[in-house]
Amino acid sequence: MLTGIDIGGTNTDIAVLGEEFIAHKIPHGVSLSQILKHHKVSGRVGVSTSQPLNMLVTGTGLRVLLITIPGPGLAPQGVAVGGCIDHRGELVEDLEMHQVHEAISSGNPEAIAVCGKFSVRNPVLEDAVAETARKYVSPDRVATSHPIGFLDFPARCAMVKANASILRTVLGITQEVRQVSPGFLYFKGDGGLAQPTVIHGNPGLLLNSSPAAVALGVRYLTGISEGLIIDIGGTTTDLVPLSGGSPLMKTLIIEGRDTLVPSVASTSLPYGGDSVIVGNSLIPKRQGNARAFSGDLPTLTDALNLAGHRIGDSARSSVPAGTSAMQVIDWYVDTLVAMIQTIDPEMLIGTGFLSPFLIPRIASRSGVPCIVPEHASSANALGVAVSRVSLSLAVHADSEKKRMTVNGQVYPYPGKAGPDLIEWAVDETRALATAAGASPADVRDVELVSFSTYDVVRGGVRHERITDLVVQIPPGITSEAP
Amino acid sequence: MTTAIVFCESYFLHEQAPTHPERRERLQYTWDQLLEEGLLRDPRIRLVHPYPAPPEAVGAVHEGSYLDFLERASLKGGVIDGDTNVPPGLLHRALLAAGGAMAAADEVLAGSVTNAFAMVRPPGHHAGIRGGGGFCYLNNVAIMTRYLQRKGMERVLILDWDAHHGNGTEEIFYQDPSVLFISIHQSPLYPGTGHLSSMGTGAGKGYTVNLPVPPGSSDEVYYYLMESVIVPLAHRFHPDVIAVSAGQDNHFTDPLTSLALTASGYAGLMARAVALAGDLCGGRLIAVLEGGYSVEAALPYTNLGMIAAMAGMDFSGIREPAAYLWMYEEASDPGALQEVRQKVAVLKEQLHSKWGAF
Ligand SMILES: [Zn+2]
Repeated sequence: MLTGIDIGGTNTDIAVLGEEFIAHKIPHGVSLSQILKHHKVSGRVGVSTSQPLNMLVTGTGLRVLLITIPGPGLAPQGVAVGGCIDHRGELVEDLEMHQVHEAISSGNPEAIAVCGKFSVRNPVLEDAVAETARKYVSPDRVATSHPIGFLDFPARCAMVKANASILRTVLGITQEVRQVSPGFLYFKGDGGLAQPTVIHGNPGLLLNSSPAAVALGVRYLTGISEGLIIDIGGTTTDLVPLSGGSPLMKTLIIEGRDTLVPSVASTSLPYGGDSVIVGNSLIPKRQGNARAFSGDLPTLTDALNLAGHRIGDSARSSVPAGTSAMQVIDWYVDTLVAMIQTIDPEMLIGTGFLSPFLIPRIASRSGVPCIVPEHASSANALGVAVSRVSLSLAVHADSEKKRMTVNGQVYPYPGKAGPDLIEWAVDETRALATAAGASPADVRDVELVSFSTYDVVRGGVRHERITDLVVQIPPGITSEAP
Repeated sequence: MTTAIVFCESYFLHEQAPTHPERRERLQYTWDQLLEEGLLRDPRIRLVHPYPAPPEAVGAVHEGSYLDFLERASLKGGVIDGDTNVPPGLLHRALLAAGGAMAAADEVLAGSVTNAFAMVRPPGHHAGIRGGGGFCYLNNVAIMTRYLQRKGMERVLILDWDAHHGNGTEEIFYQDPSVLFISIHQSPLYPGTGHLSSMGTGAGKGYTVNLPVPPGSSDEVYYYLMESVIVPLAHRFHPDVIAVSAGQDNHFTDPLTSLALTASGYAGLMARAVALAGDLCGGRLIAVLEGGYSVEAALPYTNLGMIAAMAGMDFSGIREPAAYLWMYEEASDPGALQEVRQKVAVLKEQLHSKWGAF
């Protein structure tokens, strides 16, 4: 049995895939623990929670202090403190701890993000700063950059700031879900599942996961490989292109800064079923539910009811005086069609609760054929349910320093270098994925993404070797999906 | 300003012998540093892939018989000198280095960037018309210079600040008044050429300027030479483009030389060259990597400093980590500047008939 839970901005969706397919939609306001009590979840449980986290990153105004340990190099970001780890992971300048105290005292932050150059080769300075930071703010408000795991200091700066602002929320969700499902997995923005312990080091991996979820859900439901998914939600409408059976990948941008973290490409229109009607158009704002779902203000959903549909408690639906429901719907459809025309897809695939009511209209207006698959309103949760454990290991091993880091974390040095290390990494990847609950078929293929190894020569003598490699189990649909 | 960096992973692969000073580690740590700085994603930087230099471009500099030798030796291996052998497969890698310099020139000529840095291996400035040596096979900067001239850049200033004298480049342009070749190099040191009195011959007389400096010369010596010799001569020569043979073996930690330039000095020197190109030739400047053997303590910081200066970035934070600074005290000699001042006075007299007073 596979269970997918999608904690959205307006609803929580649950999809259970076993002998038969069961879907539940739970409105906003019901707490996660209540939901989990009422809907017995079983089998492998995947949880996606991107939308509430997306809002935390952009909207809260939490005072996050970014402390950087830039060492020698280009002009630093954040508040820089002295200290340096070099490209070999060597400590070549001591940490100026008094500067850390000064930065925190004068910044009065609510959360602290720590990013040191080359911390992925040796996290000792980041860890020391974080230890001090935890004396000033709660530990669930402190994040370090080395678990992000790759070289690119500015990208890690952007990501670790987001991590510091969402860590507390993610830890809270973990605690709630673990009570009913101790072995649950999180669904990441790249479309794969990961263990909570991995996510706690880099919670930003959960951001922007809706496009990945809906893409997997659609692929599972329809098998369509070329087309444009139109996912109509409460607050937004997301367009997710599919090509060759997969969504397009891009990198996650947070507040205009590239984090280099892989994420499914999508375009978002800030209107959905709960967008409020003003005049004959919508405003990009949600103020509670549609009237048909016991809200106060008329929304796009209410306009559809006045146009003859029966959605929710349609008798409650109304539009403001002087507003034409048809014109509101046309305005939404035209706005969407203008965006679709720039993409020029072969086919439209509608998902989300309102898609049966809107997609045929969008299709006829744009002249692109469409389908709305069965279970379209649960495509996201279904995508989470059928996903599989994905993980990549970025290994940097320095046989001279007897030091190895894997995704920025210090590992015991396995005494292997060069090509021998590939075998070790593949085995380790399989072991980790299996420990996370992946089935044997899902861990069969481990891809070697990159490999390089070279000699370290000192004083004309070949000393030792440095080896870099990346192996991964890419995201996809689990072999366990019925 | 935008700066092209010409690089591809093939530049890691050339290897004369596993323990040779001119080895992969030279660029590996620099590449790590550039990745960690996020430099390649900066909108001021454009990463460009090289292509192998075509035969006619190489033939414009080197004699056919030498190229035939390289081709033959590249099949099974061969020897040029005590420091330079020809490993199998060499020719393609050498052509890719020369073509890297040409690709850098293409970007600047097309105006897609202001300037460009060809971060190539193997280096080239010891390779002459008829032969290689000193870790060099094809003279990358000379091949690029002839290419630039064919593309309409008639007058080229080559500034060679590698710690070693660029004897190959000097030979190629020794009689040529379309190229002003200025070399700052440690003396005494390999290859033993580059005397103050070697100034070119025939029509090229006065178009070769050698600035030998003593061991211990540091940033101030290079700044002084820039101000007192290179800038005034460049203004008289008025180049269409400036090429820099950007060796980095003059760093105070370099194991093969005894100079004392710092990473900050590299950035400062390059900033002066960039300003000079801005004054004289629309900013057109192409730097080509030559030597540099302090793979951990210097190259990540010197390469970064050069690129930052070329792209107009703030380079005030670029320096060596504190763990290496004790070596500076041992390497630098404050007396070097005085010695260089005296040599420059002599040089100015010798160049007077060609360039007047400067
Ligand atoms: Zn040199």
